[in-house]
Amino acid sequence: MDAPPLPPVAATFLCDAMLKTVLLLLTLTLTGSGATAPLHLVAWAPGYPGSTTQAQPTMDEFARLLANAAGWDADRVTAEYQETEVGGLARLTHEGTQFALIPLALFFKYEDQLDLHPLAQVVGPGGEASETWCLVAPAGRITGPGDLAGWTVMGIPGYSEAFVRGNLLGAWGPLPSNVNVEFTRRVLGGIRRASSGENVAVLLDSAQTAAMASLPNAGELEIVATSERVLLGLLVSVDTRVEASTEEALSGGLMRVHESPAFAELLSTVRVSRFEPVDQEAIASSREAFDKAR
Amino acid sequence: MRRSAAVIAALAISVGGCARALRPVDAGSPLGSADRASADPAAAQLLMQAAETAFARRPDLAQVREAEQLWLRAAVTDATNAEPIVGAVRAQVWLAENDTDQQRRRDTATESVSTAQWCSRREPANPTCSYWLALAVGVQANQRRATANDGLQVMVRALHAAIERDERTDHAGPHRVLALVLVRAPGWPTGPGDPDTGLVHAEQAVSLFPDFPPNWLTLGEALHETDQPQRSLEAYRCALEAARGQLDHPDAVVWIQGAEATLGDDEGGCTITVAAAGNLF
Repeated sequence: MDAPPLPPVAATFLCDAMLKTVLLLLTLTLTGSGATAPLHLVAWAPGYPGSTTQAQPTMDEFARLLANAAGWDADRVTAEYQETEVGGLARLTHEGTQFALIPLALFFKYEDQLDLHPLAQVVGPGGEASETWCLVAPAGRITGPGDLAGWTVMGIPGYSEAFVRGNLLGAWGPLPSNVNVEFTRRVLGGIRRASSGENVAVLLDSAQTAAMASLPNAGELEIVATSERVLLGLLVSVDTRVEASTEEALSGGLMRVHESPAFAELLSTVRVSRFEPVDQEAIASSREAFDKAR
Repeated sequence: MRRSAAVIAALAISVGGCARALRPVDAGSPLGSADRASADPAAAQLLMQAAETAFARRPDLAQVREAEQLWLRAAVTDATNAEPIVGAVRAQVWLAENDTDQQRRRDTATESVSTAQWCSRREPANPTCSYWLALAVGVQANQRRATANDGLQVMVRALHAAIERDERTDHAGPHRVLALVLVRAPGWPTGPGDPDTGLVHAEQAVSLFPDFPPNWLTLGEALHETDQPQRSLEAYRCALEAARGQLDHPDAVVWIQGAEATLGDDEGGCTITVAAAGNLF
């Protein structure tokens, strides 16, 4: 909030003491406005359905409920959804974004570049904060990572090659350098290619793996690798653009959101049951795997 | 019929919700108590003509509401014919997307589903009834998110049924709307979303009715969602060209806006041709 201008006559008689007093008042005023400054959150999920426009009503409701949970005015928080990597990156680079909700693969990819700090982790509908991923390939053709030489490994996390090589498949063994890791939102298309015999293997999350048996071409495929457990997603602060007290208020609010029936219903539409404190050990061990593959 | 872009806009992000999309029809509805023995097809025909005239004056809300009432009266006047019920659903779906009052949009959306169910009850094998049931369920899901999950399944079933019986309904509407559902809905296994198959249906719609701009708009979206940005732009150019050739159509402005929103300052023309066999080049 801008301080009101001083009348010219008053300014003429300002002595040092008065000036200091004015500056102090101005500082307090600005600090006060900082405590109610607008906050913006970006839900950034490349490869997931919907667009920013389509998701906006849901994000508006999310922001309103989140502000209430943090004890702020309902209109203090705004939120938006970004379904592409480039779109989300642009929004997080913007000074006006202070928080983001992102999958673990994005967190590691942009942790340093965007100075991301985890504040809370997502708990999925089954009550788990982590999941395993599976690599599915044409049946009978892959017995180890070396067999994938020259193949394409595709899936939603494919936007982060290091995450795929290190976190999802690192425990299985190192992938040959000529494996093409490819991002795709169209997982079914990848499965069709694999089941028709192309040199394609597809990464499936836990829900997709569980549903694989129901696919008509399931018999043509087999699971060749299963990852270590990785966190589903994180709420992060971006580039320390707000004070610690604001982060704490937001985190505290997030931990309670599932207690509100309205918020719980809203979260269920995006397959989130609640938020919980960050498992720092899990992040540290995942970061180690990621760094090794970089 | 416009492209029904808003019909399923919300579905793309609605993966939760547990309310059923279809409820038992209201047995007390005038549509249910209409007497087939005293049907007056001639009188119903006059009412339907008046309804078409009023509906052609969209986006005038009052005229579309008048059209809805005329079609409903025609449906009661001639209980042997599903055509006026289809008309009523068309008007209700349009109102559910365009009415300025949110509560009325919600109410009309629910009503459109019930009316479409009466259509299928009157003529169970009529593909137009299946098609409009899908659209009605779509606008209902848009207005009542809790019905989205079940609604998507209902839409896909109804559209496949319509394709099997008559894929040419509403300028290949069943292919066009199914394409939009598959392109925008959450993907496997959460929802029926499958952009690759959506593209196939969008191409079929264009092959069947290349002069109908919404088919090109849908193809443009499907090509974009299957990572073919250049061909997508070409399809939008074809949509614009087709729409500019039908400026007297009540929805021409909406079609042109839809294409221009994507094309921006692009000045290219339509270069995709449809071969006799229906293949796109």
